This record gives sequence, structure tokens and C-alpha cells, in this order.
Amino acid sequence: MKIYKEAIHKKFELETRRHFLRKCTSGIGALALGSLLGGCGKVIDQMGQMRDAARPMKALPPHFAPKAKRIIYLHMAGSPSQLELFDYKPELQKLDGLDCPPSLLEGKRFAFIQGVPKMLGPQYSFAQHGQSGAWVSDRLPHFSKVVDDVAFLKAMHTDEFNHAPAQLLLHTGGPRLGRPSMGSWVTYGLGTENENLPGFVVLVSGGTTPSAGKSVWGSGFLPTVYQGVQCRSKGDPVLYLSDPEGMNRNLRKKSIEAINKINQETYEEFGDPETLTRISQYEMAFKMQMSVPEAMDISKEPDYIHQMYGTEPGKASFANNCLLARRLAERDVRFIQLYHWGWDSHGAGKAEALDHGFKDRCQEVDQAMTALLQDLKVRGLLDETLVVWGGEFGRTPMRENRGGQEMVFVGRDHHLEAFTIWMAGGGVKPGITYGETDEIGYYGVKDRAHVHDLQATILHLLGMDHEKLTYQFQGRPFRLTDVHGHLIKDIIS
Amino acid sequence: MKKIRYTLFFLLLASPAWAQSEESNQLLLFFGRFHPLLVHLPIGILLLAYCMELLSKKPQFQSMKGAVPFALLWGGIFALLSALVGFFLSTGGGYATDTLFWHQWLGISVGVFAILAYILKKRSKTRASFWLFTSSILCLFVTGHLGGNLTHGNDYLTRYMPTSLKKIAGIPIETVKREIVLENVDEAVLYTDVIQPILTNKCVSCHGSNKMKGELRLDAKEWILKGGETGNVLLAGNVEKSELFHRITLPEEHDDVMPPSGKTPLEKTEIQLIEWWIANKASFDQTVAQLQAPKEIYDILNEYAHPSGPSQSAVFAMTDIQPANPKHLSQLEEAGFRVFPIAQESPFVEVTYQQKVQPFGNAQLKALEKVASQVVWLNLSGTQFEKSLEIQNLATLKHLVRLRLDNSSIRDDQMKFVEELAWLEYLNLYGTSVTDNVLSHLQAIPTLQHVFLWQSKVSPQGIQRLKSAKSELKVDTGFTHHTIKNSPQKES
Repeated sequence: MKIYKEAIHKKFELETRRHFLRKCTSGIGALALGSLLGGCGKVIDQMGQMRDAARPMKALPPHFAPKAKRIIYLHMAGSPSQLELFDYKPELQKLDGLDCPPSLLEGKRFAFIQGVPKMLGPQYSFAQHGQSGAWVSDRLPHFSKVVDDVAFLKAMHTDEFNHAPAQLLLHTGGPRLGRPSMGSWVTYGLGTENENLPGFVVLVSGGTTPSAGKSVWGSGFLPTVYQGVQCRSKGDPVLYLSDPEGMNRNLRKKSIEAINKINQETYEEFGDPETLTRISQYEMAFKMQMSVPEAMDISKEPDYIHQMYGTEPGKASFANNCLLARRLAERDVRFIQLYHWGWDSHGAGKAEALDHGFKDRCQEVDQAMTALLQDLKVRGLLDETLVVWGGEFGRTPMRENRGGQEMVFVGRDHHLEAFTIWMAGGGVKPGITYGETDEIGYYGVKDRAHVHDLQATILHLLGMDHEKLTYQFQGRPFRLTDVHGHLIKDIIS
Repeated sequence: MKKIRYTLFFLLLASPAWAQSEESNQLLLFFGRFHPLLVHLPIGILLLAYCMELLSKKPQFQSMKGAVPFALLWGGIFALLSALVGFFLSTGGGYATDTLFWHQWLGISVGVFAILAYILKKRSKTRASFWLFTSSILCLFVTGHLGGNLTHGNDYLTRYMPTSLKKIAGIPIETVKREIVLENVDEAVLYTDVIQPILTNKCVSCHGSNKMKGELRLDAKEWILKGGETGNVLLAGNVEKSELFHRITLPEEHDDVMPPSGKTPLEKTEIQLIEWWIANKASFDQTVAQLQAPKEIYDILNEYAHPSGPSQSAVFAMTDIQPANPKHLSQLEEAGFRVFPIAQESPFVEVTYQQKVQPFGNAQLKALEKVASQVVWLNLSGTQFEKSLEIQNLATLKHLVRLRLDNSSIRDDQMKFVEELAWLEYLNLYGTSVTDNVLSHLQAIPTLQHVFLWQSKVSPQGIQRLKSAKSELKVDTGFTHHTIKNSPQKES
């Protein structure tokens, strides 16, 4: 009897005012059209795309023929100094050690610089490379060999000078929490061509996740099926994926089928897309038990590949993640996001000094990212894979003086007015430099590009119009670039 | 009656919660789109009613008199109904606000006047009724015209009016060009052929004969020289002091930037052209050759004369390709292929073969041939072809742009079909056993841009020959980087 009462109570709990009103309207409007369509699992979304509710990751046609089918985004969390890598400023060398002129400080806010800092010249020597004559410092000896495949954007700028908001702005289009990440937008817009693997894979190295946490690959207000799936390069690639002890794959299959049946009934009753997310995630997890270990196993790669990347199977490293990125690209994963942490070269300690930790970071990424570009290229994958490299902002031409004191190690503070990123492959003009900063690398003076412009361009290369990729939320359509973003036409081949 | 009342009550009750939702916006627009369908009903009914009203004054048509009130009532009801769905349609936005305002209120007036005329007629106030009816008809004409303007644009009616008639009617004659169309860069008059078209396209909608914001007109030489309310906009030879240049180069969030936010901004190249024009004393009659354009400017102008074309393959511009038969596409999937449309509303598809399912045989080939015109990207990476395969039939896939055969079992003697692929740009043969014998086939593909031969049996000499025969062709042969110590290329 008690169970019966409880069931009745549950039913009343579910019958809220909102349900009542919804039933009223759909009755009166006599347009059960929406629910009719929803009933057979096919929904036309705001963008006019026919979506199969039961297969949220199904590949969808882009707005126009794309240049790139997938993207590998190498994010350098903490933001490497452009002035020690790509943005060569001999004038700044001449000013090294002099007090910063007040004109550069007026009305500016810095994360750590106080009072009057000293100017800081480039810490490493630069040379021009390749036919394009791109300037690269001696910290990236491998990468300097492939500059002719790369487009540098030297006058990037952002709105945020702290890591977490700047990372959020770069990856989600807004500096605060709650927006979907670029990878979520892309998989929402395009789905994936390989439904046996996640469409949006995240690989993290450098010891820790970016400052903004996992929100940088979160799905925000999009259905959670579109959030990034973090894979590890050491141990089980995806946690909790293997069968629990005492349960074999057949039993697992049966229990998932039973759970999904119940979930399907729940979905038919309530129509909550999150239920579908859950169903497809159970199914994907089951498929991934087979496909992920195969894709993530780099130990069978030939020796010359390991030498080329500098990989050591079983270790968590940026190099391993680069090799994984290539393997995932071969398997048609749509969005492959790498994070490498530790670029925040303030100089407040050895690990974050331009003359120590920064050197190590350069060594960790140089060979592997170069190998990734070359490896994609010879396999014919670079033509259809967009590779993007960069941090969330730049670094000041002034030396950081935390607490107004000269510090033991050399470092630079956060800087939002100018930084360098590079892009390669997938429809990007190779061997060009776009944008220019002033003589000391403080401001962009020509062809500046905001992070929203970068996002618009990335979506364009993947075949999407950033103004048309929208999602209705809280009464208005949202998009990755919000109300901003201009296509950077000059870098598109 | 009671039932209807309840229905309305619920509709009102539910509307606040519902009106916020996306579904409701769509529903409004859904009904709104019936506006063009409905509007012609009241037009027809009211016009006919008015004719009958006029005619019925003559004895021989007197019998029509009785039909007029009926037609008036229904004409009025349909007019109001059209106005309602019209209002729904307007929630979609994008209409000229002034025109919309008049269209909306005059449209409502049509219905209100007609119904008032009906009521008065019923109360035998014939004279008042007639005048209201006449007003309704007048409103109808104006509303209809404005509606046409809203949908088709203000100059829709008169655009193709003969020039002589336009002169009589006092309609301005458009002689200036809207688009930069250059036949010969050197002979082009910079102002007439380049600068004015930019201004006409981007500025004249607010700074022209219809609107003169800031008392400035930019539609002809005299007006440009006259300037606006703050004086001159053009200081020949002085770019920085020329308001015309200053305002178009302000940052987009600046209050004074032109064109203002929401309007199409000028292209970077357009700004460069205006800058160069002003710097060159803003000549109104000199040609590009006389002005000795620097290379940068010449390149921009040359782009107008000879557009470099879309960077995607021209195949995508074909308009006569029908979408593939869905039945054929599902047959293709049954045969082990995965099929993805290239883009929305494009007939073209990308096709990938999944080797795991079954070996590639004639059945697969047949399935492909059924969608031969639609396949532009074909991925046969890792495919093992059956021995008996008539692979030359792949040549029927005449629109192929990208072909991946890497790591497949393809042999030299199976490669002749590529010569017939007139659009092929990308050919991936890495990891295959093809040798120098394949190179003559590659040379025969006119459009080929990129070929991949890493880990194939093609010799360095062969590649050298290929490169010299097709200098624009990019050939990827593998790693040349110093980090690779044991790569197979180095060993060989």
C-alpha cells in the first residue's frame, strides 16, 4: 500500500504547473507537430539541420564545403612569451634594463607588475628560417625547419589578463563560466564521422589541467554529450571504461541494453535530451571498450616514429599526446584538444623563469609539435586537418617586478594586447605572417586579430559560418563568437 | 460558444510562459508566413465589393446591392486577420521600420474602416458608410504598395521603368555603378570605376538622395566636394585630415565609425583604395595608369578585373548536379561505405570505405557508380581490392576532387583510370606499391595539385622528373627532417 501511495505522490510531483500549461497549449494550438516530430526521434533544429535525437554525434553536413575536416588545437596553458619565440624585437634589446616609459603604463593594469618596471630585451637569439623568412628563436630548432608550412598570427589580442578568464574567452568565447567550448560547438555543429570514438577528445600534459579547469572543454548549455572526453596517455586511457571485476563483456552488454531501454521509456515520457545523452554515452562507452585501447596504444608505432616525436610509451607527455593526436586524426576524431601546462613565465621561481622553466617547456614541445606537422603532412592529412598552436594571451615587453622588487629569475607579466599564435594545414595559407606589433611588441599595429576572430576563422575552415552556428538558450540564440568575430580572410588559402 | 470562450481563456493563461519559448517564436513565424497568402483575400473581396457598391447605383445592377454588406463584413474580417498574421511575420524582424509602421497601421485601418462601414450600412447610414468604405479602399492601395516595397525593396516597382518615363515621373535615374567591374585596370578611371561604386554600395543608402544623414551626400562628385554639416569630408592629398577616411578607419566599437554598427563595413581593400585615392589628390578623372598605382594597389584592382576564383574546386560551383537518390546512398552504406554530405544543400557527397566490413569488389564498385556524379571526396585508405575488380570503372566518378588510396593494395597497372578524372586535385598514394610507372598517369591529370608518395616504390629520380614536368604540383615524398634517423626513406 505504501509503495502505491508513494507512486501516486511521485506522479503528482512530476505533474507540475509547467506540464499542465504545456499540455494546454499544445492541445489548443492543435499543433502537436513538435511532439509528433520529436516522437519519431527526428528534430529540425534552429539551424535547419535534421537531427537524429538518438544519435547526437551523427555527422552533419557543414554550412559550406569545408577546408578542414578536423582540428588539432595545441593549447599552451599559461601563455608562452611571444617575445622569446616568434615576435623578434631588436629595438627592445636596445631598451633592455631601462625604466619603462610612463606612456606605456598609464591607464594599464597588470597582473603583477607594480610601479615602474624595467624593459626586458629578447632573452634568446633569433634567426630567419625557410623560404618565408619567418623569425624563430633558437629555442625551437626543430620547429624552425617547418615554418614554411605555418601561418603566424602576430597581432593577436584578447580582453582578459588572467589565465582562467582568458582561457575561457579563447575556448568558449566568453570570460565567465557556462559557455560551451569550441570543441563542443564543433561537434554540436558537425557531429563526428567516427561514432566509435568520442568526437571531442582532450589530452592534457604538463602535470595539471589549465587554470580554468575542465570548463575549457565543457559543453556549457549544450547537451552534455558534446563535452570533451579526457583521455590519458598513461594507464587506462579513459577512466572507468573497463569492465568491473566479475563482469564480462556480454553481461555488460545486457545490462547496458536494459538500462537504455528504461532510459528510452523515460525519454519518451519527459523528452529531456539529457536522457538521450545518457543513452548514447552508455552505448559509446561500450563501443569505446574496443576502439579506445586500440586508438590510444602507441606502443606498436614503429621506432622511427617514436624517435621523430620523442615519445616514450606509457609516460604522460606532450610528445605522447602529439602522437595520439595524429592517431586520432587518422581515425576521424573531429576535435582533438591538447593542453600543455607550465608556460606562465613570471620569473617568480625557477620553474616559471624565462631562463629555466621556459627552456624546458620549449624542449618538451618543439620536437613533438614539429613531428606532428610533418607526420600529418606525409600522410596527406595536413591538407584536411587544421592545427592551431598558442596560449591564451601574450607577455609584456617589461620585466616582471613582483612587489616592486627586482626578482632573481627573469620573467614577463601577462599581456593582453599582443601575442602570437600559429596555424597550419586545413585551408590555411602556408608560409605567411599576418599581423605586426610595434617596435617593442607592446601593441598590434597592423592586422590585429581578436580571439573571437580566430574562433570565427576556425569555424569557417571547418565549413561553418560562426554567425549561423547557434543554440537557443535562455530566450536568445547563442554562438561561440557571441556578437563578435570577423573572418580573417587573409590567412585562408 | 462556451467552448470557444474556454479555449481563449486557456490560450491567455498559457501565453506568458509559452511566448518566451523558441517554439512559440517559430510558431509565430509559421503563422506569419501565411500573411502573403491571406492578404489577397481582403483585397479581392473589398475591391469587388466597392465595384458592386458603385455599380449598384445604376438600375440594371441594382440586384448587387444586397451582396455589398456581406462582402464588406468578410473583407473586413479577412483584412484584420491578415493584419494579425502580418504582425506575427514582422516579429521575425528585418523590415524597414518606417515603412512597416505605415503598412501595419494602414492595414489595420483597412479592416476597421470596412467593418465600420458595414455597421453603418446595417444602420442605414448609407452616406457615412460609403465614405468610410472609400477610405478603406484608399488605405488598401497604399498598404498594398507599401507591402510590396517591404518585400521587394523600395525601387522594385520603378527599377525597370524606361528612363524617359522616369524623367517624367521625377524618379532619380541611377547612372552610377554599384559594383566594381573592371575590364582593364590601366584604363579604369579611379573615381568613376572604383571609388564611387564603393561609396554607392556602402555609404549612399544613408548619404544619398533619399537620406542625407549629417547633411552629407556621397553619390556624386559635387556632393562629395560640398561636404556635410561639419564641413569638408575630403582634403585632397591629406588622408589623416579627411573625415571621409578617418570615419571609415575608426575601431568598430567607436561611436563615430562609418558605416555604423549593423551596416556592412568596408572591406580592408576598399579602405586601402580610398586611402590611395585621397592621397593622390582625390582625382575625379584620372585613370589608374595615369596615377601610377603601386604594386599593392594594382594587385587589389587586378583582383577585381580577374577574380582569382573560389579557393575550393570549381566542381562545387556546378549547379546542374542532382542530389543522389537516397536509395542509392543507402545501398552504398549497405555495401560498406560511410556517406557524408559535403555541405548543406549540396548534392555532393564524401564517401569512405570501411575495409573491416568486406573486401572491395565489383559490388562495391557498382554501388559507387550509381552516385558517380555526386562523389567528390573518396576515401579508399587501407582498402584491399579484389583481384577480379574492374577498377578502371572508378573513372566514372568524374567529379572526384580528392582521392585517398593510401595503404591500399592499388598497383601501377590499376592506376590508368586517374587520367580521366578531370577535377582531381588531391591524390594520396602513400604506403602503396606504386612505382615510377604510375607517374605518367599522374602527369596526365591537368588539375592535380598535391600528390603523396611516402613509403611507395617511386624513385627519387622519378619524382624529380614528375616535378620538372609539373612544376606547380606539390609532391610529398616523406621525411627529410634531421630528427628522423631510421625512417624508411633514409634507409633506401
